[in-house]
Amino acid sequence: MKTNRELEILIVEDDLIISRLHKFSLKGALKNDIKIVGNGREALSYLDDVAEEKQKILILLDLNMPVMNGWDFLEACHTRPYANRLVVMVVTSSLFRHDNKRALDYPRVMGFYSKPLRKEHIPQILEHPEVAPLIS
Amino acid sequence: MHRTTITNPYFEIFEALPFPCLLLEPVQDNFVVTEANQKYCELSGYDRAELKGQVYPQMLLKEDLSRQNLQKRKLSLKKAFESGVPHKAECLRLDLSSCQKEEISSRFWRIENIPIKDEAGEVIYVLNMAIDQTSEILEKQEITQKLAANEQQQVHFISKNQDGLYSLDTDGNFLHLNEGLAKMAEMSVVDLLGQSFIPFCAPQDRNLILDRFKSAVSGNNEIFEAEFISAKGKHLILEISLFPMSEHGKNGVYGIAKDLTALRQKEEELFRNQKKFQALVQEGSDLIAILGTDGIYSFVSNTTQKILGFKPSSLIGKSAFDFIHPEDKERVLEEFSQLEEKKQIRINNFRFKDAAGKWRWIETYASNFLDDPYVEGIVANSRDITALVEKSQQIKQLYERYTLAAEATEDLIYDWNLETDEVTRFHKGNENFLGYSPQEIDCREFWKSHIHPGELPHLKETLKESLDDPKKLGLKTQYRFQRADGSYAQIIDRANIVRNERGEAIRLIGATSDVSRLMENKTALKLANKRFSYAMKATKEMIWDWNIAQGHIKRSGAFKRIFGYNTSKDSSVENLWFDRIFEEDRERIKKSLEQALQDTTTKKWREEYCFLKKDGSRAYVVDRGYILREKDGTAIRMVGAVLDVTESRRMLREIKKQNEVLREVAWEQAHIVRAPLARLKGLLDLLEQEEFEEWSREELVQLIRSSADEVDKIIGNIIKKTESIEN
Repeated sequence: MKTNRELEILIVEDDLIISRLHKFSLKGALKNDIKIVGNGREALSYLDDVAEEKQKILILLDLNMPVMNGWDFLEACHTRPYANRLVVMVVTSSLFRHDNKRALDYPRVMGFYSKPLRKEHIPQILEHPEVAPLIS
Repeated sequence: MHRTTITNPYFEIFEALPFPCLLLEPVQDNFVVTEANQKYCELSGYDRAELKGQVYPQMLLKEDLSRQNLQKRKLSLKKAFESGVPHKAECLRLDLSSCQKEEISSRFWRIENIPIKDEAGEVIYVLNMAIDQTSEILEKQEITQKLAANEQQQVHFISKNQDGLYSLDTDGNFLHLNEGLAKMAEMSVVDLLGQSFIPFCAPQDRNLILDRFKSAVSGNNEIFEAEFISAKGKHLILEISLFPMSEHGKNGVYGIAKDLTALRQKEEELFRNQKKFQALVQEGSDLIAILGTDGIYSFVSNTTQKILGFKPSSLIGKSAFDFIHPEDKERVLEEFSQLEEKKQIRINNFRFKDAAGKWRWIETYASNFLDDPYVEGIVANSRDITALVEKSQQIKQLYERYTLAAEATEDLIYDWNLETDEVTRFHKGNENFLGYSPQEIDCREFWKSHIHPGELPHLKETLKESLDDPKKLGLKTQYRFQRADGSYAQIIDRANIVRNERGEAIRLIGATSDVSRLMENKTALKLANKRFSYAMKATKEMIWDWNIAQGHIKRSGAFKRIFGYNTSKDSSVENLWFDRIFEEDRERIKKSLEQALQDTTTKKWREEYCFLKKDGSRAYVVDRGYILREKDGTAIRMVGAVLDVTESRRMLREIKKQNEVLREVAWEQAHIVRAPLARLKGLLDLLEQEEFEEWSREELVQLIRSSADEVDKIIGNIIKKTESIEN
């Protein structure tokens, strides 16, 4: 199994079953640790703590969440010092094209997927050039 | 006896002398011929020897000599001999015919006796020469005779002279006078002698005559003209010449009186004739000229200056044809040439260039006076008829225009002579009017018989009333007229009444128009207008009509109805329009309107803005206008409509808001619905896999069920919510 300490993988999702399903899917493809948080706020405070050590942070971001939704998270994180090390994949239950378009306007959003992630989506995510070299 | 022979040389001279000479020698008391020269012998016919020794002058006795002559000779000879000085005896006649000559002629001689002395101074010979004086004597005689004849003639001249010849003493009394003067004075010569001339002076000239007379008496020559009155009261104009006279100790004047009365009368007559000529030729309104057959002017009357602007002198020597219009020249030349056969011709209207270069219409009568020595030319009498020709051309044009207009119009033009009851109609070719041919229409009584019977009596009455009223100059009637197909046409007939000086109607000139279609259209238009006004009442739009040139706007009733403002008075764009537009829109609208008006290609204008209603509320309006422009593009009028869209705007806003809400709801709902569904799909995907690690199969099934229940519950909620919105 591959492992790389410089890549942080974070799932921001309020639906526990979905987050567990996604973590399970990812785990089949890599050895890196995978962290799950329930909303944007939790994600921010976690990253503020750990991001310094990390070379890249791959985030699977849900949009519709309590406390701090995905949009607010995107707004908030881009002023952070680690903003440029983020690789955000939006994974949402929304099928609105308009959400897709809006999300891709954020510079750190690199992909847009609807829930649940299917098996074939996993390699697409991991082969993103910014993260692929860090995958173990 | 002192006999001395003449020595040879002297004898030769003696012989050669060209006049008859004798050398005489005194013998006792007589003189004897000693020698005679050649010439003497020739003329006397004597032989030289015969003569020698004869006693002189006795030897001449056989000739025809008067005693006086003989004595004169003897005496002269004696004087010369005794005095020793030559002596002459003048003019002695001696006709030589009595000698041996056949011809007889009177001869006059001068005898010269020249004494010839010896050395002691004693006269020994006398040379006797006869010098022929005949020619001188005869000449003298002739002159004397002539003088006598002249004198005779002069007397005759004076007495028979037509002029008055006279002499006056210093008091003015006649000393002499001739028949001529007596005739003038109508008195006899005898009666006039010793009379004064003063009573014959005409009163007005008396002083003048006396002054001149005095001047002549004092030594001056005077010539003057004055009026005199004869003894019988006849007025005479005399030219008087006075010369001072001083003769035989008498002082006074000679005078000649020439009667100028007839001459002056003739002159007066001539002057009057000249005046008449001037009045006729030089001052009249006709142009009189004398030309040669080549058209060259030799005389041009003064009227030319007034009529054509040419100084007469400027035309003399020029050809009249050079002034004639090129189009008329050939004709005029041809007509002018007819003068060779005709005495007088008339040259009709032709154009002649005046001094200003303008063409003038001229008419000329030309007469041939080439044979008249006083004229020797062609007398052209011309008239400027420009005004006449132009007027007639105008009339012609007017008539043509009138005919064209009559042709062009749809109306039937007619000219009804009320005196003869004849109607002339200007048909358009052979075109039918109301289905009738021109021939049919022109038939008598045709018109009257086709007027609608119900309207004919009234029409007749109107016509009569109008014609009888001298103040009426026009007439307009409307009636129905039967077409050829039997239907009735609506006719409007407009006519001008022509009246004579007494005010009686003599002609009726008018136009008959078929207005049937117009009437139909009029009805249609009325209907359309009615519909429009209904529509206007119903519409939410306020129609406005902005007269840009005059700066005021008219608005339809909707202005009050929709915005609450009164439309009773016209208002400008500034007040009651721009000032009612909400401030946020005002400048934009002003600018946009201004731009539209200025751009000459813009026809339509449209803007939306907020407008303040009278009640203070805001009206959203859509304002559209159509711009009417002059040919140069200047906007003069704008007509438009303002639509109050407040209500629809409000609804639109509400719909928008609702849509917003609905979109949010839909988004939310979609997420809510999608959450368990996504979970379901994930779980089912997992279930399909062989291993699912931390989940047991039962656990997965349980999760799937609860997710499905969740979906069901959510849908139930949506239905519930929708039902609540509807209510």
